[in-house]
Amino acid sequence: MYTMMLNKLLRAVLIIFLISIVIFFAVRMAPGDPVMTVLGAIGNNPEKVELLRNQMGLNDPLFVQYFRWIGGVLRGDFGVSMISGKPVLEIIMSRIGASIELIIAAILIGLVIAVPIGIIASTRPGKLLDKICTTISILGMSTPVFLIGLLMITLFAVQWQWLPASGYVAWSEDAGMHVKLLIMPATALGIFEAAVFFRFVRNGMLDVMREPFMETARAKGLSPFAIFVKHGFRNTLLTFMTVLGLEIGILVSGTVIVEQVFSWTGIGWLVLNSVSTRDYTLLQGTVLFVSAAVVIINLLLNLLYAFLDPRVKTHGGRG
Amino acid sequence: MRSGLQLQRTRRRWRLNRIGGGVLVWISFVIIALYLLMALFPTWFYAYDPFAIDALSPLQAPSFKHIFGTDEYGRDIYSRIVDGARDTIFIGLGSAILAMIIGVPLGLIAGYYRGKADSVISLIVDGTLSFPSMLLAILVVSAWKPSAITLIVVIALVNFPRFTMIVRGNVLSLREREYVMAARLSGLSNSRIMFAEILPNCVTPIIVQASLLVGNAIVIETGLSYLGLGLQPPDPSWGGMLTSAQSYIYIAPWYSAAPGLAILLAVFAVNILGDYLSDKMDVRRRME
Amino acid sequence: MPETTQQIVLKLEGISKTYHTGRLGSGTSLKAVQDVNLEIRRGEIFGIVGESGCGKSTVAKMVAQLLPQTSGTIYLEQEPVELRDRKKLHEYRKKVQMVFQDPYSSLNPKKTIRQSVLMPLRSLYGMSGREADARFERMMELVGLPKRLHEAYPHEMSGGQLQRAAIARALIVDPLVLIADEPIAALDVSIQSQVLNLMSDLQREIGLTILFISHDLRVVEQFTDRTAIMYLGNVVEVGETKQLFRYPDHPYTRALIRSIPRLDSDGEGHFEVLEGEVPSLYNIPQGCPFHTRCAFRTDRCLSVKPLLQPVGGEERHVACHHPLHHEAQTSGADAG
Repeated sequence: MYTMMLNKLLRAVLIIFLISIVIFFAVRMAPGDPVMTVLGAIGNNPEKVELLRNQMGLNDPLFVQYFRWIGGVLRGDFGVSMISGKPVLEIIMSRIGASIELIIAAILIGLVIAVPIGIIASTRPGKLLDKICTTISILGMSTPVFLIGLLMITLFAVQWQWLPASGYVAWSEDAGMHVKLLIMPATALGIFEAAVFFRFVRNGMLDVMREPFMETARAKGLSPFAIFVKHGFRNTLLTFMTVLGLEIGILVSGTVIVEQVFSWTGIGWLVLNSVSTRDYTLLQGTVLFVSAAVVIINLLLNLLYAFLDPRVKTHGGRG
Repeated sequence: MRSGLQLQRTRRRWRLNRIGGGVLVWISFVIIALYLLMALFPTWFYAYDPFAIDALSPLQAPSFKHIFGTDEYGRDIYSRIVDGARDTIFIGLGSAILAMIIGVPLGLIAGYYRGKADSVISLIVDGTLSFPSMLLAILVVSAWKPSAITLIVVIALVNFPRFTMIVRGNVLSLREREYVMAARLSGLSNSRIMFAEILPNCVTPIIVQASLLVGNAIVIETGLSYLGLGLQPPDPSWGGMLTSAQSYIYIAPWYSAAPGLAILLAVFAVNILGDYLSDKMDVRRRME
Repeated sequence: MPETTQQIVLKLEGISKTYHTGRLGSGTSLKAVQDVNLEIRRGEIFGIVGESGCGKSTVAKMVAQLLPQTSGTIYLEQEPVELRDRKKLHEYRKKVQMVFQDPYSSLNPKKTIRQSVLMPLRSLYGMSGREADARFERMMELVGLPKRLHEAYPHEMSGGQLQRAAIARALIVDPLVLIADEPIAALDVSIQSQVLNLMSDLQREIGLTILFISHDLRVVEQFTDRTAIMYLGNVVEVGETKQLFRYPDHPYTRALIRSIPRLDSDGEGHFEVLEGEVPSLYNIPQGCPFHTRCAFRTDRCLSVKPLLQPVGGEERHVACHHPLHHEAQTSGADAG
């Protein structure tokens, strides 16, 4: 058990390390001089450019620059933004809350939609209702989040004017407005996730239904929902954790786009903003932070899974 | 143990299903065929020159003259959708093919040799899969100039692990088949065994995965161009048109309908087809 | 016995296979095959029998060089076989071929019978075109596959036909030795004897040597010239088949033979079943591997592992301290 955990931990560290290399070199091997970002219009003065290059250590070999960067990151120093001069970590921390809030709201909305539909579809597999639900879920998975978002803006903000189209207001500033602004991006992301969750709830339920003890449960006249609560829940919870591990990367990708659609100024918005301002220290810091977070969340889910699922334990041995 | 009779029976069922496939699958076939034609022969479909600016008629609502209306420069939206099909379809197909070229051999090697090769490849696969695909794409596209090639490469890099995983799994079971041992007894080299003996027997799951990945590639490509990181104007891109549509959403709410529908239909058709293929080719059923 | 049949084609000397499981050397090891010594003579059908998991298939795969042995040497016509050298391995493959258990998976489903059967000829001899085709036709006639099946795909054929094709593929390079790993186990009973007859015809007609692996004692008794009995990765007894079945020396051999259901003169079926469970390969008993289930065990069996030694002449070898019919020659009188 402990060797398995240690193994997974080492693997996660190695993956984060590899990702950091990819991020650094993808950004730095690119054509264009980062100094120009800082100097802007006065960048045509060769002496000044050279001076700044030296100051920023850009004349060192790339791998030296890499180790300087990653060494800083390990000490919690992600460098400073090239535009605002503020520490990158501080900027990330000021935005991360909005994104976490959005993702959690989206997962909840996704579950609220997917669980009932999945249970209903699983009661008569292969029948018309199941087919309709499955087709809708393919439609849901096929619809890019920005399309769902735009459709919602068109309907709820433009057509019926129930909700504000886009923007972000801090909770402390105006709680009501904050919630109103959160509804659409969270729902857009949630609908997309619901399509994926639906399939797992349905298939998880079908697995439970096939168990021998279900005969007695059915004979007792339990409704599908009662069956789900009594028997399917634990089973589905385990698969749900696996799905979530796989989905967290996709959720983050979706968040980046949804934040752009609704101008929800979270971490995804920050990434795109640093792209458009060519703030490469902010960009590589943010991307590394988010990717590492995804890897770590996956690791934690994996370990939690091992604790909850007795089968995993016996496989790993009780070290 | 399988008997010959049983095998024949499954084959017959396969054929019946192919003929009796649902209406939705047929519609998907037609949609995909239409898109391919648009991509190859756009001039057949043009109503107007997609680049012709008409300063006198910007943002016109859909009419008989312009079935999807005109954009902010008075260009015919329908014709621009037709023109945009080429990039989206070719980037979608191209990236799926490139992902296949990268991912399939890696899966073959990992599954066939196992051991160290497998550990290294699995690490690369896990690393790539845990990297949120949109972040990787944004990172690369923002650093390098977004061109069709960059987009194909980026999307392929994001997607190749899916091929690797599926091929690896199949090879792990196929390599124990007796015909693979017979091939070794015949003195075939490892690469011949991998490519000539094993690979032809995992074509089905590869095709299924490829069709699903084309859909995924279209989502990423249109997403990137929506974020302004796709192919640059004046070339029309479906995602880029949506960005423009969003700026005029209060004046011309119908603007987003055409590009939105174009994207949705493309992805939906490809996914329906992929789902159908995986069902019919027995990939999922065997796993369940 | 005539001189020619005495000539040794294939010799296994101290062949072992050990698998290590677990990481960093801390894991356990599984001894699938331990120190197997066998001599196979030209033109004979040599059987290896044992319960599943006794290591007989592993021996077959090591002889075919599909699996490297952990230790020991294989000699083909007195020459030690070198695995690492690709050229020499190619030469070996020309002389040693194999037929597998499951005919449904032993031919590539995506290839026609002609493509599959010609494959060894193409890649071992680089032969193609008319010469190869002529050979193919001859081979198909030999195994009795009609012309309409020459271009057929495996799914269009029955198990018996597939196994004939697999035999044709193995024999097309004209090997000295054919390894047959449970070649009829997956076939319908009615087809089994056809395939067996085909193999014994081939043995007679082209002087083939066959290493026949099976768990089915009745088939081995009827089909093979000599037999080796394996138990838990060890060869426990080797001898001339008829003699071995009539006068088994090893208690395990006797138990196996008695477990064959037979009809007695009074018309009732009788058979005995061995008591006790087969120990795990991870945990092979000390001393004689069979002692946990043996009715004749003595203290010596618990501590000293018996080696395979000749008893009652050179034809019979047994690894037992207390052989049933013959006196042990070298180990002396038993102490029990």
